[in-house]
Amino acid sequence: MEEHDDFIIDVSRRNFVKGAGALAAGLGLAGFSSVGAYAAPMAPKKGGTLKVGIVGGTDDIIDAQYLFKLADVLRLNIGWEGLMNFDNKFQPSTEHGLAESVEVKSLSKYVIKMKKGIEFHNGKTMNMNDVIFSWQRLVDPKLPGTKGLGQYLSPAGLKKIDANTFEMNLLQPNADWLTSISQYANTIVPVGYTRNGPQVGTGPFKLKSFTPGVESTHVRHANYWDSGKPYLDGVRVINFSSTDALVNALLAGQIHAAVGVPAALVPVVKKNKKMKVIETSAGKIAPIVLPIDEAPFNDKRVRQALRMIIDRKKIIKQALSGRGTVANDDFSPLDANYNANGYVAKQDVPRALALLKAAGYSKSNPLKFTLWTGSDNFPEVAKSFAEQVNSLSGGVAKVEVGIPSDYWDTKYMAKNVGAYTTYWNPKPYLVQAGQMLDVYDETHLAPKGSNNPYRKWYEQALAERNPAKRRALVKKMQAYHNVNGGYIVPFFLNVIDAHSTKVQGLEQRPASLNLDTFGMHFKRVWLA
Amino acid sequence: MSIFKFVLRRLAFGLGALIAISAAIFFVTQGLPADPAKTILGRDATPENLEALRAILGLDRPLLSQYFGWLTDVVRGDFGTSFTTQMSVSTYLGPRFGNSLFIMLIGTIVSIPISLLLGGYMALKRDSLFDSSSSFATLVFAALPEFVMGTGLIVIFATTVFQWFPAVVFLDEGAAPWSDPMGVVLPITTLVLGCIPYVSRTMRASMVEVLESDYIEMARLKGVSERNVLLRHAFPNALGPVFQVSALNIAYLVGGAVIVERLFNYPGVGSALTDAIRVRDLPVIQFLSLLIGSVYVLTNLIADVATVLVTPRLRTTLK
Repeated sequence: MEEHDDFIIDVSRRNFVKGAGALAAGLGLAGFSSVGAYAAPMAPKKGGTLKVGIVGGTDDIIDAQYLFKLADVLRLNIGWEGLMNFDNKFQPSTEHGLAESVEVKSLSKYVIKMKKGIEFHNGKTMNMNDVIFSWQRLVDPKLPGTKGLGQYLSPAGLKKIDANTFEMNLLQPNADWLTSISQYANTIVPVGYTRNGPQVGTGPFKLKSFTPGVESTHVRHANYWDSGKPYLDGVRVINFSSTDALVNALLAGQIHAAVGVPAALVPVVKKNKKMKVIETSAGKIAPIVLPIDEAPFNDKRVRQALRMIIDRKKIIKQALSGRGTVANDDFSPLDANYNANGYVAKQDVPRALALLKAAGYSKSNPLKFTLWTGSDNFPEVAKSFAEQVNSLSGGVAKVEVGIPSDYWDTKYMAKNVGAYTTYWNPKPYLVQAGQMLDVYDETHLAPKGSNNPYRKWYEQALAERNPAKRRALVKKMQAYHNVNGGYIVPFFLNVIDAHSTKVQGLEQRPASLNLDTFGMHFKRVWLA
Repeated sequence: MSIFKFVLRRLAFGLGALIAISAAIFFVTQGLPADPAKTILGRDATPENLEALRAILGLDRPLLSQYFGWLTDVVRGDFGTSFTTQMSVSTYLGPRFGNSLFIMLIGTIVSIPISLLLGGYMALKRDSLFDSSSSFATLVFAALPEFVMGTGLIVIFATTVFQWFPAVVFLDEGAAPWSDPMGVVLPITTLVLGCIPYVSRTMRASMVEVLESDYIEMARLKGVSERNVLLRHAFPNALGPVFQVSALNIAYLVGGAVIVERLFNYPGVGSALTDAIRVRDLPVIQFLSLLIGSVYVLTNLIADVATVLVTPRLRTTLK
């Protein structure tokens, strides 16, 4: 269940949310890169069923608010919508959400007015009880996977104001709250919704059938609130057991779109004139985690040496077939505050060796540790890292790579096992920092209750409404993290999908979710 | 020893092998670093319901007791419930078994006669251009793994050069594989190409040996027609080793189907096995491993008996 456990993280917060846009205006799009250009869209055409392929298995689920794997994310996005979403500039927006407006009374009080006339797939009109129920389910401490949102909002903090309005009273100020509620998994369901009950949402397509590991079919929601949409009659999600079969099916014209194309197969797809590749780098990371309070990583010199010794471009080439961009141990490249210090993690092998020597390591007494990773957790990165450290250190460091089948159960975040790998979908700096500090304390940088300055600045920044002051605090956090942190972030991964030219309405724009945010619930998509 | 006793003896050996296989499968799979209760409950797991489920599944019992319980259920035809689908293993795998059986059966029906004819003809035309080129070709195919052959077929016939056949198989819920005849062409061709080299090369070697034997020479000297020499004397005697290799090939087809089904996204037991291993669905893994083991035992048993029946020398020994 390793991928499950890891994806639980995604459920709550692992998808991209842009930094505090509604509160602090003017966030840019630094760090975004795209491949290829898209032609101006033609007039949408109605009808047809879009066939989307994705790797999945018998453990796929459908739940409006929880998910384990990418296939679950896809199905969730087809049938359900949240209060807010992200616009083309990654700003939290109500355009595609069910909220009409959001008023920020204070950093711990948000008043939300809902759109009127929203109908569920079963014909029931959405009311405030449904909205309150949905959010109670999202933050219910008895339900698993709620700790991301639950640390800011309790069920008691939800209060109905009138038939169309409610308020969220947070447990603590949070300047990034709008980005949190804009995440795709924070959706609205009817009162009484359960995973095992009828799968009813407000999205543009309603579920018709679902066979885990095989396929699901979704048909047009006739009374969908967004006038004239969706264009398609339906969506068929087809499971594949491997990415090879997925890409082959796309190239053979058996599916219209493939979600999650491996970097190594991109050139093959691009050669086909009937195919388009969507490739974005919004800041997905696959860090190597060095728990800073455990030997040998409790010696700062060791962490610094491991950062300095590697050739990041080479890791990208070896592990990602070149499809990524260099990162400097920082994260959140779309955040306006990204790399405020201009820190560059340059390769400096002599200095790295000097640091290791100063830390007491030599050929006769080498630095030894195991780097654990999962087969679904970019094992090539761990292999490339270990290979470089071992060869460049000339025997002063010996890193072994361990890839156990139960990685997520026994090694990930386990005590005193060595180093390990993780991954995070892109999100703003403070949201990512919050995840690291309070939800998944991978590096043990600043545990709750500690006097660590990183935590102090984090809490101050969350409660700081003035953008300039927040920026200054984030800058301090980054500088501290660069020197003292336990992450080695060699690169930002590209998210890669492909589709046939018959599919229209998908664009290459910043998106943390695959396939142009799944065509915004596929309501923007049509078949030419 | 009569042929009847011989069959009974082989059956007893087969049964013993199956029991040993079942024990190996059970203890190895139960020894996997996985908690079935956690697999079933997933992220809804709490310490309390994990404990309760472990008791329901009998995981708190000694391993030996669990094994005999499982074996008794298997003998009764109860293969347990899939952890992930929550369906009985037989219900879940029934249609998939039919799908796999279809491509394996067609693969066998197509590959065995082709292999016999090819091998026999190569032996007759020994050292000719046909023989050497066929030997080279079969050697190349024998050296290629299934996924390479399958990928090559996909590139040539489905995606890049021509688009004559589908690259993967989509079967609607409950649909039979023959409802998509075009879809199964490439998976079956891959299996056939995987089988032909071994059987044809064995047939060639066996036929060459028989054709050089004294009794063939004697038959020719007696003036028996070449047609009769080949069909009545050479061919039956050459089949003995071929049966053994064919049996291994049929058993291989079950294993080879795992790769082929994954490559072509074919909904058979092979893809079910890879999925079950990924999600650690122990009842499915155990059933399919036992099934593959049983196919090996059964096909070898049939091959042993068939070898005796078609080989006059061996038949005589039993009498």
